[in-house]
Amino acid sequence: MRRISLILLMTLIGATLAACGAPSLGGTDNGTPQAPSNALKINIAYSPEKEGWLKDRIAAFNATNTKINNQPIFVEGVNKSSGAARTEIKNGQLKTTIWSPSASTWLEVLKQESGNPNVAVSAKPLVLTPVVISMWKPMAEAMGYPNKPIGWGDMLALINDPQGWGKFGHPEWGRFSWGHTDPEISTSALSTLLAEFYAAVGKQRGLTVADVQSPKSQQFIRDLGKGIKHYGYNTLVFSDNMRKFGVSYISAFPVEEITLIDFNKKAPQVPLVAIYPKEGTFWHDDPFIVMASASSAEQQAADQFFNFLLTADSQKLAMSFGFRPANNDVQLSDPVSPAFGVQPQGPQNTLPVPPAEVIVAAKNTWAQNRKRADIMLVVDVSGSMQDDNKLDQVKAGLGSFLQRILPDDRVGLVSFSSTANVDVPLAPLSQNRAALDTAIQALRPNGKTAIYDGLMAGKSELDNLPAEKEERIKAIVLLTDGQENASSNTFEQLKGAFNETGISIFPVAYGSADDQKQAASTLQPIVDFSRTILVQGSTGDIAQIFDNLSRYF
Amino acid sequence: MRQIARFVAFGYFAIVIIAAALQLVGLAQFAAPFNVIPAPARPPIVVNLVYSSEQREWITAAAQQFAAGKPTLRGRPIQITLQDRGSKTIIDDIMQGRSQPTAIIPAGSAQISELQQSNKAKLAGTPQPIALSPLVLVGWKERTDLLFPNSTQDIWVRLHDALKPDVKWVTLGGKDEWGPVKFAHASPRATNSGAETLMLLAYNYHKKAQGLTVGDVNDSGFQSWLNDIESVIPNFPESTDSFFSSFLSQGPSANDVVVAYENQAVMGIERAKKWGAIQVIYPPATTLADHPFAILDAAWVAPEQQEAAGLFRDYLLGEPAQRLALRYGFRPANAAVPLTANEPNNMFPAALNIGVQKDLPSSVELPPPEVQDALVKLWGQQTGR
Repeated sequence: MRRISLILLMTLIGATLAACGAPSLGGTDNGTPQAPSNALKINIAYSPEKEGWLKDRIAAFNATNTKINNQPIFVEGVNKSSGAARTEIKNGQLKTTIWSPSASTWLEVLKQESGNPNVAVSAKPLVLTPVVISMWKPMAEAMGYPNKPIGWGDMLALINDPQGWGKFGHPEWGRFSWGHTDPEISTSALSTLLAEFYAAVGKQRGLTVADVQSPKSQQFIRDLGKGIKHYGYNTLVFSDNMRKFGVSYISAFPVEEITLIDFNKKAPQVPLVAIYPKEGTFWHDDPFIVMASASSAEQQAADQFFNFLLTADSQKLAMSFGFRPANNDVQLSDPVSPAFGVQPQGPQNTLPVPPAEVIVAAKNTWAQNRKRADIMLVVDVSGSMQDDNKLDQVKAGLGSFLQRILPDDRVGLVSFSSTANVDVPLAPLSQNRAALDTAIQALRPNGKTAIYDGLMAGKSELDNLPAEKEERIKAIVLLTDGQENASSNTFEQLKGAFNETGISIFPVAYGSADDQKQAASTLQPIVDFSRTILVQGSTGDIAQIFDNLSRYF
Repeated sequence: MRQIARFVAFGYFAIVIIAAALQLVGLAQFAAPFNVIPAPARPPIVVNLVYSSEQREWITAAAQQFAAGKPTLRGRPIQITLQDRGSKTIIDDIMQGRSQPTAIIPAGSAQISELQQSNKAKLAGTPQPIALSPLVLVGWKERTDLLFPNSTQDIWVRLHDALKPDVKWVTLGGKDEWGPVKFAHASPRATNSGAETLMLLAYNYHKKAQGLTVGDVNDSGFQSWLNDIESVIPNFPESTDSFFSSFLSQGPSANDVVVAYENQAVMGIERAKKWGAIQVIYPPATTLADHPFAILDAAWVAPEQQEAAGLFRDYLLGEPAQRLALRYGFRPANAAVPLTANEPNNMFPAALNIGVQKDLPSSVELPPPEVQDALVKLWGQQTGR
């Protein structure tokens, strides 16, 4: 009986502690915040650069237990790139109370594409960041930074100058080169592209479809393209490589100011500085868009959350990530300062976002005039590629890759196992697409892994091409699941052969985790001298890998 | 058995001691079982108030002060919920059934007239203006000094001419990198300030301050002149508050001169300083936002909500709230509170340095609804919005 009483007593104490809300002494709490049972749940889809800030703020807001009509508001966030969110909202796949893309441009695009001008009830800026040209500080200083305004025209003149950086007393920096992300995906790239078209026709407003399609604009884009080292999937690729390879990688690339600040916060050997193009640029305003599909209570809850995000504390936290505050009571301070490569005064002139039809025309004109590429596909067909259907997956992936390549890009195929073989010589894709499809389907796994010989065969193909009037991106996409073990060429010979050729090698380490590890041991040194990136992925990732790779050309 | 009873009694005693200790160390934030249970709280009377966005700071502060006094009506607490929207959106939302407020405070009487014409809601009593703010031009002083160097009488003409395609700041004596002159106002479809900007432009073109007609709007010369201005404005935000906030946060790179309410300019003095000084310029005749507080007589509004809304309106018109208005750049509607009242943080003494006038500027006559509609329709045709 005494034991029963003791159990009863402990049960009562336990129940009391629970009712008091005391911390659990054990149990299943894994740290994931749970919505109260009577919560009014709202959600927000936000662009990736706000992840760090908003994850913190969502948790902090939920902890405030703010209520609407006696219901506690509970916010859930999802990280979604702006372009993808726009597509999913339009298709009904993404249902969200609040949408915060990088820039209001996307809301205009959504209104246009969905044919619904009332898709949102309100849109207010959360934080701000301008689009800038990020350039190595010594290079910018050589061009007159910070006293002389610099713009796209100056970049173009430098690209066209055969002396390259020698024009500014630094021949050791070589020719001016830059990186450019894909405007189909990246908001920064889309803004950059529009700024380029404005600069091309010498306008600062009123850009028209005729402007972007004019021969002058097309020539401007092609001329700027001469300096492009390669295109990229997102700005992270460029900032990672700039950190890794320094000034010898590229001279500049356009980004949001926050990306530049983030780069400089990690104490690079040489810092970047923000050039606010003298012809004008764009503000990205990260709007807080309350969707019209939200109920009245959800809209009120969203307003409460917005007010919380605009508080001085929230805005100061955003500024610590490199954003400029939308709350005008918060004064600018580090890291929005010269110590982190930016000018607090920012741009002197911003450009108006043109109508949706001009944006579409700009993207089309860019696609027709972007720098063309010569791409050798160098594919491992060693015996191990038959495991787990790896080669079959690669064949499918190569097919998807070719679909995204332009008809007048030149593509060829080398396969290698114990030896290397040129299966399809380089030729415009419009001419050899059928030959490539046939050769890809005919690939059979067998033998060892002569990676270096495969690369040398690919290089010979690129070397043997007749010279073109306009410069082209020269690249090898190398795909393997293992280590080098059969080449007649050594690594040193390979490195020496590729030195100063301008050919970029994009290696993919492919297969199981062990395969990737083995392949990486051979591929990483190649990445290091080629100054590119190592892509790693399993069979399940192959579609994404090839989609991403196609954005480099 | 006695032993057991003693043990259980001791157990209860222990629980009380432990709980009391937890209360003391602050662990039991939600110690519901041990709070003294009050008499059942009477449900609050909720007043859903939707107001025009440029009043946000003042209304929010006044509502907090009102709530701090724990207001009640016949023993029931009064709870004010606030939502800000563009003035015209407030009315549109009611007419489309998207919003069911107890009371509204749009920027001006034009929206009240619009609501009265609909059958969605009637008014309970006469709307009462609670704070005044004229519509003005606000710009970056460094640039407005070049744009409006002498008189203010021809400001719309000078602005119109400065927006011509061949004119840039460098041709007006400014810097090359400033680019073209950038002027903007909020959406005439969503905001009072946007709609009244069109009205001021029309009056100015026709060189009058009253009697604007549909014929004036349809005048081809006016339409062409208006198009010169409106066609270079890249976008028309749907809230005057967020529009002016962006003017301040993006600085002179984005806009040189904008149309805003005087209170926004007054509150912007300090906030603008990261970019430079701002300047207020009064059009030769302007409009006055008088912020009428209107209580609705609609199916969704209960009599006690109307009564509670009336108490909040009276609070706003009282001297403490009117003095508070001065801190947020509004001119008091209650004549007992002068513009230069000795109120801590009264913004007006400093505002006189950026061009704010002590006396109210002269106003144009509010044209009939059909003229206002014709202007917004014309704007929609010209801008494709």
